[in-house]
Amino acid sequence: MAVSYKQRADLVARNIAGETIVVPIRGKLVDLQKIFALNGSAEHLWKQLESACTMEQLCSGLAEEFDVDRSQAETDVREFVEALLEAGLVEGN
Amino acid sequence: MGTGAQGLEADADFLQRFRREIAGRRVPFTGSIELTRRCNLRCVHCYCGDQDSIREAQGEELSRDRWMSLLDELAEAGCLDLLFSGGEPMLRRDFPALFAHAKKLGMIVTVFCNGTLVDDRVLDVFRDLPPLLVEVSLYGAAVETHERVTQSPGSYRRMREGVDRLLAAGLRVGLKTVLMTINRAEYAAMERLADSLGVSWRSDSALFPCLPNQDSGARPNVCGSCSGASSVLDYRVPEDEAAALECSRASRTDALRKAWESTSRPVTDALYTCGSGLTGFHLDPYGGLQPCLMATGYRESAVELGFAEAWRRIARIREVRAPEGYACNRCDLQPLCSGCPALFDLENGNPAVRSEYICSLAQQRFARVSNGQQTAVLSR
Repeated sequence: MAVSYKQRADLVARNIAGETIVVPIRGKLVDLQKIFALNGSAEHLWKQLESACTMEQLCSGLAEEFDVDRSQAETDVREFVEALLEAGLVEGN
Repeated sequence: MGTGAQGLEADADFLQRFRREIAGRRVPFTGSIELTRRCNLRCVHCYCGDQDSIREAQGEELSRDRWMSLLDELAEAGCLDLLFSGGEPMLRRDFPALFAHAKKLGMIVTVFCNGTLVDDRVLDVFRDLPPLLVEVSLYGAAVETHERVTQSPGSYRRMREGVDRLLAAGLRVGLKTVLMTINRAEYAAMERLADSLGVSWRSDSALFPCLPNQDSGARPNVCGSCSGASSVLDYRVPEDEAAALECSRASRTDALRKAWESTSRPVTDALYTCGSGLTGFHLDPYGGLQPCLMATGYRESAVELGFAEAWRRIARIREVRAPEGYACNRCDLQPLCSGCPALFDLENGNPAVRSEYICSLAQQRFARVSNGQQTAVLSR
């Protein structure tokens, strides 16, 4: 069964001056020094991750929204989800 | 990303860079909130002033519900970096709820306190939603010195217990002091105390007068044991000694030198050149919005007007031009100077008349960071 990913519950996404800023509000202290900015299509993907999504669903959504070919969408989604996982902003199950 | 996005951006400098980017758009990004000016201590130098008078104004403080909705408005307007201060913010029973609300709105929150009221209710919420930093005021390494400043017997022990509780909860803690004639002999000992606790430490040499707020009547706390001090400014340490203490640790001298070497000094005809009213704001216990703590002359009611409109109105501080002959906004020593027009106004009754003490302190700092090898141009 495909892994699905979802935003962690202890984050707050803010829109400040047109930028989407993700602020961790719980967790290890070191995390609190880090806030994250999402730009362009990353915002779109982040929005989708409010509910659990598989890579496949994210790719389809991105390809449709930004009119890019499937392989480009897959590359982008994979890189972005890996970055989110590394930063601890999403969890997979 | 091939889809045109830069994806995820996060690094230590992000806040600073973002702040610069939004400065031109006047977003209230950084703010401080005085939840109350009441305090359980009576510090001789406190800029809030006379506690007896302030307590009488308690009924005028904003209610919990009003603070909650104001916090909502701050978040909506773009505030990210928020300080809870006072007075002693933990005197308010609703402090944990207000702090938690700010955190849940996605603000990065720092707390200034005197450390004596850190109870289980506070710790429970801090453990769940950690503040970026809790900074506790320390006024002496010795009990007698600290309490000579606070005029509150037992305050040192309670402060130390509070710090221990915060540390035991795994929180990031800092100590800060105000350099005064009363505690100058313990400067190094205070720093060693912070070192021994493994916490950050900083000192501020720029004492300023009691703020002209209605609640205190602009009267300082009466000092029962400090005969000879007729004004808060009498506690200032001579400039050469203050600079020597500041530079008594190489890391601080290096930080000052770095600031001197790397900070830009834009020549401007604006009187207020800091971020106040541009990205910074201050809210008082009664809902008054100011560009900063000291700029009391620009106060607007965020309760009556709403935060957004009050924020729009205090923009007038940015329009104020410096009068002819005002040299501070052309001074090479700006990166080493802790003065500003709001402080000058408090000290001299005129925002364009510099504080001689602050100017001299900047020159003393410059002498220390340059080892006497360079000549500063005080104005261009």
